[in-house]
Amino acid sequence: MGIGSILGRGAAGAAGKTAASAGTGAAGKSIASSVAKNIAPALGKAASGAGASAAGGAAKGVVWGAGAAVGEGVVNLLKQESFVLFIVGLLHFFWLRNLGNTIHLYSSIALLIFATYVFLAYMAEKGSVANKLGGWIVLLFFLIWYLYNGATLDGLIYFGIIFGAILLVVTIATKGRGFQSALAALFPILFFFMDLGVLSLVFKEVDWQLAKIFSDLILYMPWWSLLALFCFPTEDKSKLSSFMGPVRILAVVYIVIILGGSLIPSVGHDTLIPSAGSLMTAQQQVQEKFQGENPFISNMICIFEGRSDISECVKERQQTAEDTSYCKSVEKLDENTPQFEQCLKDRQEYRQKQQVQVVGSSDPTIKQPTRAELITDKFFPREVNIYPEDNYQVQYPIQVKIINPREQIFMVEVNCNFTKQGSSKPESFSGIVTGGDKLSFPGAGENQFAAGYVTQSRTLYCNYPDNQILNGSYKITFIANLSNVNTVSRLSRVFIGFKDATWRNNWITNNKILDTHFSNRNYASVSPEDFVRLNFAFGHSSDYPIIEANRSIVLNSMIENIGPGEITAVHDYAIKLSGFNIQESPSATSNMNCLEGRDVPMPKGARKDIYLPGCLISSLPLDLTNPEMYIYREFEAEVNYDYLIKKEESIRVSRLS
Amino acid sequence: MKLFAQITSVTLILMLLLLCGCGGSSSQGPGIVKYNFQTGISELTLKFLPNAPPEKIYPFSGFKMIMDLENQAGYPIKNGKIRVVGLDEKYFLLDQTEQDFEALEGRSMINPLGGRARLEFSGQAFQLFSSSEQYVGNYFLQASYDSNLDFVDTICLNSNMYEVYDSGCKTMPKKNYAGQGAPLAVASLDQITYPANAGGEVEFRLSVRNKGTGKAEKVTLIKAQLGGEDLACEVAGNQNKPAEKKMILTFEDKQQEGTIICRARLKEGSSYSTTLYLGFTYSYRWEQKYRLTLVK
Repeated sequence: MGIGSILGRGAAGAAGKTAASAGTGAAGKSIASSVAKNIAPALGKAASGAGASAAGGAAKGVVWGAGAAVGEGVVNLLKQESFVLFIVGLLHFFWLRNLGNTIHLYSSIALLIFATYVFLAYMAEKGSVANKLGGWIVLLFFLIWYLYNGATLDGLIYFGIIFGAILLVVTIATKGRGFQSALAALFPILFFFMDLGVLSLVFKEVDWQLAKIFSDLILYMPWWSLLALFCFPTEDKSKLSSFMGPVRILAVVYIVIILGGSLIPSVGHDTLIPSAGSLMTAQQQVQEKFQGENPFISNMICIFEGRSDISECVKERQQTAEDTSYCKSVEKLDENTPQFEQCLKDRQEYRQKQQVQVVGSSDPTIKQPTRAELITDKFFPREVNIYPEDNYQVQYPIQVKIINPREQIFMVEVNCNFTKQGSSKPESFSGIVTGGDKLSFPGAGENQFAAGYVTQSRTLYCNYPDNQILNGSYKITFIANLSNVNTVSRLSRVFIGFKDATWRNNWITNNKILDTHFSNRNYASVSPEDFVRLNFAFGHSSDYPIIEANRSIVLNSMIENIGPGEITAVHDYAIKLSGFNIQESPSATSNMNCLEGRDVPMPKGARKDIYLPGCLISSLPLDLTNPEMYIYREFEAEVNYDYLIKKEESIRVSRLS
Repeated sequence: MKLFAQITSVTLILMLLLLCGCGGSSSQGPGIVKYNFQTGISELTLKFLPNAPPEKIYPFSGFKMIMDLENQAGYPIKNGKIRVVGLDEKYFLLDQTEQDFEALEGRSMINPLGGRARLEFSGQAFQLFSSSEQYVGNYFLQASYDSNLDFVDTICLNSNMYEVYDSGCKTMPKKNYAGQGAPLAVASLDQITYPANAGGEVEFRLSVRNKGTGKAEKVTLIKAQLGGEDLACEVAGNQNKPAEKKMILTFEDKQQEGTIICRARLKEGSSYSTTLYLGFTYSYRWEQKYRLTLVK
């Protein structure tokens, strides 16, 4: 049944009701019956029944009849398993899964079993599945292997053989019909994974920049109710389709609004999914990043508030919700406190700063940026069997490869961490890294070495501590912290001083200067594609390179993380504008920091960029004030920082007797 | 036969003298000998010597930019200046960014190649930015100078245009010119004659256009004569300006053209040919983009 037919039926029903209400006596009954019969099949029975039972008032009869029909419909609906699944799916989505991981998991398992029942019944009704036994065998296998065994490879082989054999017997016994249901049972299992957050994990594993449209689909999709929609009866036999139809429409409207909310320009920012040890953790972490209001709710509230600018209203609500969430969960502040209010204010200021875009780009003349990479090679022992007589400790080698074309000298410190997998409560402990330059480099630890060559590769070992015995599956996280890395950016500007209209026509209006010095129209600062770059810009506007005399000049800058890791510290930065004078402002401290600063406070959360204070330039150096022609000059800015990169590896240690 | 040869020789000598005599004074008016070099479009040319500057410059090395200037125009050039504009001194520092050059003779019978000069700029290269592989410094070479232009042509004047039996010359209402041996040129001449019964006046409309590769800036009409007598002229559009500015044609960057309007009373009688002469001075500017490449 299409949406159009559902809508048409609803409209016709309403028309029938109206016509019936208007009618009186016999004529009214006749008209009501006629309209209800011919135009409004959904409510026709109710209308005609009501008309027949009420001798003098067809309209009253219609109302009662409709009420009876609705009551009958609701009873029938509750008899319909797919509708129950739909309702329970909504309960799960809005309530149960927010009560913690354990309840979420049990609720999902229960829904998986129920959904398999509903889906197999639906497929049987459609004639696609003749025997449901195969489906139940697959579900049982899945529950045992995934939830009891912990989804190990051994378990897959072990249980796979057993259940495969059973399934084979069933398939042969049912002449192949049981296999259809086995395949069909995979469908609810897919929804089970969706509900637990498999998409979050996939995005995380492939290191994707998650668009908001997808993140909203992950976070605001009641997957079990969606599956229930598939299973709604399409035939009119059950007399339910007039009720199921609107529910389907509502579901479609919900998805449209969710997607619509996601498509509003500038609502939030794409965020990188953080790492996670399990599906639910992944989903939880995604949720932590997207603590906005459900777009559906935002849209509804904005509509009921009578706002004409719905998109702007949704955007405001989403931002307020995100800010509130940030101040509560990240800053750990209590609501209705002055600190909380200040936090909200700071977040608004941060947003405003973000709007002052100081873009930077990669320096095309620098082909080799500074890079660092953690590599595990073929000697990395991913699976180890240890016998009691084995008297050695397994070491996990990690290669740190550094490309350092400018031969900077910076310190690299490597650490590692073990996290036990498969247990409901992740158990974690630090490893001990050896193989550094302790002996040859004064002051260095076993886990440190100095980088100073153009290319450098060092392998260090991660060892588990003596008081820990590895047994089972673990995730090792290798962390390399690079201290005191330096990156320089440069920016070109043209100074023309005071020039008359003729000169301006010749050199500026004709784009002669821009065509010569900015032929690619890139007016932004450029820097090597290191881990971080300091973007800076100054001029009458940030994105125009020609500077005249006696006009206000603004200076903006920011530190952008363009590498794969995290900025852990910014020791200092300097924008080298020698001879430029800065206009004093009420907040003199931040004002002077626009040219240089030390120990920049690191922003909390997963933000990538650090916005530095801006300022007004009050005067130019003498030689740039009024040149006879024009002066083209390049300026540099430098940032010194610490940078952290990570790599995760899964290992398995089996202790054999 | 001998007599015929003697008569022919005397006739040729007389004709030569007559022609020379019609040329007027030599300093300001056009001379027939000079005229050949004052045709077409020609201007100052500028060429770098090979490897000066070199194609690639290495960090912390010195370099020279040596250029030859040739005045191909048929007129002298004075107040000449060469500028190097737009080099970032962080990478390339020149000892001087502008130099004057001496007056250059125009091409003539005695100097058919025109005046020449050689200029040299010395510079020092510095280091590349960070680990950049190269730096390209774009810059302009700008030449600016003053020069002059003479326009001369023989025209036919006739106050009695409707005289059927006039056996003299024929007036040409419009004439086009290829150039007068300079980047600036009188491109066309419109001649409008008002017959004797309508006042007996002739109006010349001369279109002055920059046909060179640079930009003309200030064009001044310094002298206008018709048949050796001063002619009243003014720049079209300058009618309301003070007298000293009426003769100045200011070229805009995108409007490198202007019109001069001259008027003279016609003498009564049959048609006759006479010489129209206009002398201009102008400022000229030429720019060309070049690049220096600093490599590792």
